[in-house]
Amino acid sequence: MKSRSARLVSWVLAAGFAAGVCASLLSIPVQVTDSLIPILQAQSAPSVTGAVVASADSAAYLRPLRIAQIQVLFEASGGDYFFVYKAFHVALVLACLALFVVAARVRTAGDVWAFACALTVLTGLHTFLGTVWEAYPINHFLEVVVLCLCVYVLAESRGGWWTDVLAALAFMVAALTLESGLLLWVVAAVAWLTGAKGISRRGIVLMTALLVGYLVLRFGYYATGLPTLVERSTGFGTMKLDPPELLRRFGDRPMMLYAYNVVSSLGSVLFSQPRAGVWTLLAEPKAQGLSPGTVMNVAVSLLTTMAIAVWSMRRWPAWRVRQFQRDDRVVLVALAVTVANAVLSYGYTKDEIMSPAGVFYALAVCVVARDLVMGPRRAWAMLLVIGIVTAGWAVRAAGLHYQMHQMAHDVRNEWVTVDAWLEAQRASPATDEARALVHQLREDALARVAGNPWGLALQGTRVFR
Amino acid sequence: MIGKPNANALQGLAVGGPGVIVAVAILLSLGLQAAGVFPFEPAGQMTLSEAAALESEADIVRLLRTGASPNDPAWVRRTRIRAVHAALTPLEAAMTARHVSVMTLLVDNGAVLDARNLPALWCLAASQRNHDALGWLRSRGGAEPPSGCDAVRFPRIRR
Repeated sequence: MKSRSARLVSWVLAAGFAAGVCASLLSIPVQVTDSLIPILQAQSAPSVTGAVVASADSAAYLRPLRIAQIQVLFEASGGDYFFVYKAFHVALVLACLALFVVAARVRTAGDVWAFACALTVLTGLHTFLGTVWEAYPINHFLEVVVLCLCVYVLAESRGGWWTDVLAALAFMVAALTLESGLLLWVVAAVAWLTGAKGISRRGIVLMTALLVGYLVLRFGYYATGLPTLVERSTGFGTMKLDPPELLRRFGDRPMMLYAYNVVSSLGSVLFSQPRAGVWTLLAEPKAQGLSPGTVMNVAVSLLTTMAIAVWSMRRWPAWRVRQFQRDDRVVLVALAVTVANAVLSYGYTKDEIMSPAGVFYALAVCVVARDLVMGPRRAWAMLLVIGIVTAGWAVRAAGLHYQMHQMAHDVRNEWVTVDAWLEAQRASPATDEARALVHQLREDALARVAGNPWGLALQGTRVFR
Repeated sequence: MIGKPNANALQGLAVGGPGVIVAVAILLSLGLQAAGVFPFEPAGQMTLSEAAALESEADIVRLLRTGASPNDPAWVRRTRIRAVHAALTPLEAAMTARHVSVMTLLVDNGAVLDARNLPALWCLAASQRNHDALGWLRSRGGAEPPSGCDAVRFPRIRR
């Protein structure tokens, strides 16, 4: 297969996956939880600047561009809220898949097979699900993923002053949108250290200066601080703990919880356990019984991570003397992003927080899979194991659509009782405009037929976890 | 660079075959849907009883708006329950699938709960040891629960 043909096939494969994700995404109405209140707040905000200024005072988080983006899209919507927020989400999905194609650098037939496998890992890993099945009303986790990939592609480009500027801009946008945005610096720095000079030394210095500036702004100027135990619930052991319980258990020794969260986040990406801090593998047998989906997820993740580990050990001698090829860079950036991502989620664990790590994990799989395809002839038993693992990933990738379908069903149901929910949140609309907005979104959700209703009758949630 | 021709096809299939199948399946499925063909969906509209069995409250509201009666029995096709010998009313379907919130929604939207259907619903819930539903039926009042279920005919369901 010629290089151009291989590239074309990779784009077609990615287009297939992207089309599926976008179709499932569009079947989900605007959410009640997570989306409605931010949209109502955007409606009552005087302007983009006003919304940003008001958000600057918030404790524990510095995310002014998150609010700004919600406000900008609201004002650009012209009243069609579903369209504008979903269009932005679709654009992010397309950008993510397109950048993934570029980052995977498909050139040969072997690359194509490996890339097909990597696509199932990208969309099948549970960290990806959170980036596409919900929004707030913008999915900022997916935005950070896109920007991380963008910086990686810039790092591997031919370079020039504009790559430095773009990388710095991407870092600023990401860092002021979510804390995970700081990962862009990790991507750029590790890529540079391993020989990618698309972003120059000057660019790295600029990004480092921006990182320092962010820290000064956050901890010095705004004194925003860090999230405490009272901010959110998080998983621990075999259950989820609410803030009061977290305070009772870890109030005087929070470092223990933070360490658990970091290790949990690492395990979540590498072994699919625990999930959001909860060891479902241990919790399920006591509750509804161990799901086949949980067993499958752990098995395929474990074997895939082992393959990456074996590949890395083979490359270790070269790494020790700082000899890096492009494949080494991909795996090392994936490793660094995974560790840094886990550290950043010390406060609480959630699958989607680890989405940047998940995407780079898929890129690392692409490297190892290519090695498996192009390497020496494997024994039949080995081929069988490889086939079972990749089939497992394909099932997980297909499961993404089942889970999004289930989400569409759940979100539509939420709209039936939206008034009671808003009342419980003490956020009932106070103006005619706000009531009209809620009414419009409710009617839109109820009128939307959520895909194939019979799919809900399947016991899919036991298989797709 | 020109691709290496020695890529082992069998190894390639083992590694990337499932991914290619997923991509083709997605494109095929979307193509069929664009052409108006839905191969995995049964013909005909979902009934209110099916929406109740599926706990699809949004579809219940949608169907009620289009004029569906909350008291008419209908066959329940491919859900987790299946009517075997008789069509089910939406309340019976919701009871069988153990969706108390759906029963509340149905009653709030005109489903009648009285001496004619309470015994059957009561005995259905009792046969499932569904204490939430029994409590809900008791709280609704309006009619006395039956003293026993031997003489009460209620739908037989295959799960």
